[in-house]
Amino acid sequence: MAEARPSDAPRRRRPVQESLREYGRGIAGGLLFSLPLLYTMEVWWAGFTSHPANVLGYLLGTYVLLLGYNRYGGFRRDVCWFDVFTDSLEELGVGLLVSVVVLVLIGRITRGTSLPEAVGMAVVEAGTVAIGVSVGTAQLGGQHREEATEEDRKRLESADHVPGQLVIAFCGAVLFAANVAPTEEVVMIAVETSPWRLLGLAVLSLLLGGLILFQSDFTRAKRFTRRRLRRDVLAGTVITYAIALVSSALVLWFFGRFDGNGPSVCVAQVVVLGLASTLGASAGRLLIQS
Amino acid sequence: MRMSWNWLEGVVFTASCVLVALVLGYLAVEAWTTGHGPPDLTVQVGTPVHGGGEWRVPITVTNHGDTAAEEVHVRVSPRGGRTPREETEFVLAYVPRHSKREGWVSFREAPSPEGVEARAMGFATP
Repeated sequence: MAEARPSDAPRRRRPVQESLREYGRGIAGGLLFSLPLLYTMEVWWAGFTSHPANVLGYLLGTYVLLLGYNRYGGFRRDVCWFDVFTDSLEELGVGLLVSVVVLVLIGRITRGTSLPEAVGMAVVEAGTVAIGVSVGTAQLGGQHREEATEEDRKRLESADHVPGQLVIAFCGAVLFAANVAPTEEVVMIAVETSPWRLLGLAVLSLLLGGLILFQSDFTRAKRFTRRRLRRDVLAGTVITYAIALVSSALVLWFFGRFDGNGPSVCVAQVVVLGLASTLGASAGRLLIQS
Repeated sequence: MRMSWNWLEGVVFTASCVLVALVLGYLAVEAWTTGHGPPDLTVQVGTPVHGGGEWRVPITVTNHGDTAAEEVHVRVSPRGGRTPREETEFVLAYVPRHSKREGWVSFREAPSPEGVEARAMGFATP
């Protein structure tokens, strides 16, 4: 969880106190983002009802997301890949440890819990904790909050780095969607809501994404969004919503929400969860970069 | 190599590597060896305990199958004895694969010397 620094800069050994503060920030961030999940029974169930291959895929997917965040989040474009790989591994380890400790303390993992059950629950919870640890380490220190012309120039450059922005938007969308997707309420809303209301929800999500990214100047959003042409605004809004829908579908699939449901219910669930994912892909994306 | 680590960062990184490798290895073995068969439930009856004017009997449900069982209905009744038999039932939300869950049932009268019969009546698969 080392802070980003240019790869050619001279390296010095950091004081242990500074590392401790950084781990503390990371753990606080991890809990901040994942506590709703750690307290949700549908997530515990997903840990032991899923096949081990799916849980393994979830763990690897989380690592890939962490790589994306650590590579492109904030000012990390000039960070070296070795640091990205080791930081991500460290965050995954801390995420696993934090989720095990919380699950033990809230009585979900006890002496009677079998190993497959405990590992499943810990891994599913650790995904969000680890992303929270990554975001918390980088963003909760307040080191990027001050005004700086040079930093703003770099941010504008990063707004033009489309793959980086897509990765960050995807990280934000998954982070938000994973907090809502496991709940029964998503299926209930999807089943009970009429197609017209779903269409309204989709339009609201689109507008909200555009508004947050290009109108409300949310956390001074103009630093991270390309908006030279009207076409950029339109494309940015549509692409953000597309990312939100894809991440919603992926997260819903993992939590088994498509099993046994017809296409209309599956699409309805994606649209319902799309609102949360859009918030993640827009506001979340800006927050984890600012 | 990253030379700027202090001892704390070194310990955290090493511990993270070990933890992640253990979890990855365990999941890989489980994924390889676990099939997609249905739940396989066995029900065990414990020793009845008298208290509060009734008899309480612990029941342990074990799932030996590869899939979790959901909403497991367990029916318990004394073997033999007088009729009509006093039957009781309880529901477990989940019994994960290769795991066990415990429940308790209570009878007004002492279970017969022949013991207590218990079986899983039905379940859903998640």
